[in-house]
Amino acid sequence: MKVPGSKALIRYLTIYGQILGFTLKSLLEYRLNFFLQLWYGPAYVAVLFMIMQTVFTKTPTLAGWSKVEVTILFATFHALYTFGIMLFGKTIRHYLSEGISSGEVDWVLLKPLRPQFLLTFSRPELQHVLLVAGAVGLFSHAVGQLSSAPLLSQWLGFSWMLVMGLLIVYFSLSTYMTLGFMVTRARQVIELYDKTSDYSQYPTPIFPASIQIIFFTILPTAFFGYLPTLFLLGKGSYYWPILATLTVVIFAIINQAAWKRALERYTSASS
Amino acid sequence: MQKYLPVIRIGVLDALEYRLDLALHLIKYALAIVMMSLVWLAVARQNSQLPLDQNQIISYFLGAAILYSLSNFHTDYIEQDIRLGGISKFLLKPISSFWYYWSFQFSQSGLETAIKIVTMTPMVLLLAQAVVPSWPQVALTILYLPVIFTFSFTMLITISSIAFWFNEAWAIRWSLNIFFRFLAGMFIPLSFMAPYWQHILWWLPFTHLASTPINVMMGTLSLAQGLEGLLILLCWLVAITAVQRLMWQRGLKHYESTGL
Repeated sequence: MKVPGSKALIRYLTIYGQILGFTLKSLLEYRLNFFLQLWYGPAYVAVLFMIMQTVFTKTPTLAGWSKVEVTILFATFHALYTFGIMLFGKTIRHYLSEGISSGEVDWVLLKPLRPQFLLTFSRPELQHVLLVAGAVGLFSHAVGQLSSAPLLSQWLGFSWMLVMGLLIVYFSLSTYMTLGFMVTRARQVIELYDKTSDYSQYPTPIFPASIQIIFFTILPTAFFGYLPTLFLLGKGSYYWPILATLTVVIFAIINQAAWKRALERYTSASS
Repeated sequence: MQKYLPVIRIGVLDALEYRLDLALHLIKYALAIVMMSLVWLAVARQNSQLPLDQNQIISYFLGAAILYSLSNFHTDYIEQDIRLGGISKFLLKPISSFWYYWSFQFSQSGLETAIKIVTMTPMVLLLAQAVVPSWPQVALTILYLPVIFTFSFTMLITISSIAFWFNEAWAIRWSLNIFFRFLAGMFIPLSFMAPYWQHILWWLPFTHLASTPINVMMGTLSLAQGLEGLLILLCWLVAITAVQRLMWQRGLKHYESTGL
């Protein structure tokens, strides 16, 4: 039995595999540069980790979360978000900052592929692989320190929430990317998104209610770490996976409408 | 020095060309630091023994947000000039590459800081219910501003000089910059750290890029301590300038550009 759309999905996954291959080869062309680039992400996250450690020298819990629990949240957020940034973050950053305004989109529109695919996935940032691996290592270590191991149902809920979280990162970021079609310089949009996302490594309830609302809607960073971890620690309600799935559907609809409008609006001259 | 004034003017015009972009850029860093203050406020609600009370935490981080642009910027355009041969123009003309780049960066960082002083100072006074600082405190803090900027710029151009030897100096610069921000007290008031760390950090330049001037304004450091901090920073400025000159001269001997 053939699943509708499976042929197209396999085609795009094959192309993406080839893009990953080309990217890796071009990165390995200058090995010393690649080696240096591997370290800037871990250096940044190491500082964020030191800040978190300092926080726990002043208090045993943060909004009811212990140090081990916040470490799991920290690692979950950095693994998920960095993985997303590795897959599509650099491409979005590139087109938002200069690709759209310089008319590079012309070349994308000429290719027999969905423009959104090429405009969001054509430049993976494999330099983040070390950071993702480090975050996964920290996660495993912290989970091992929990007093009781999570149940299978908690792992399943956590995994589902991670997949939903990754989709929400993609749909929200690529929706904001369409602003690049409306204004000449919109690079700071992704930078603002990036900087705010850093705070999803802390339990969302420590922030005022107004900011929590933003973290569940406009900048849905609560889905990147807080909600999946809540589920893993057995603190989450079974309504959360349903809410996350609905959020993905809503973001996907908004995303497709924004892209349709953005591509219709696109113009370029002498690019 | 007069020949660098047009560079400052062009730099300001360049920054104001895309005003929405500039506004978002300012909001981005200010928001990141204000969010950090919310984390520490959550800690303060659970621990009343912190060295700063809740109002002082708000004052501290709003102060950090104001000073941020003076020491946190990206000198990637210098690395690009080294890589792509843009340095050649300084070798042929009677202008100093250091002062040209300094003027350009000063226009951008100075403008951003001026905007933040105007917009955020009332927030410090209203939100944090901060005590209005005395004139000597204000005067000492103003003295700090050009030294903070010049030290940070010299340090970053020194790191960017690595581009004479490696293509991707940005990865090193980014990694070091985040550590400098941490050591400057942008994310953690340094009084929250253990006393021996505070003692070591006092003799390094980074504390005096943010923590010391903010504490002088808040009155948690005396004017004498503030002056001592400024002198330490000036000594480090002399040292980093010597390193920068040496690296730039060596880099220029290594530099080559073809077909420009």
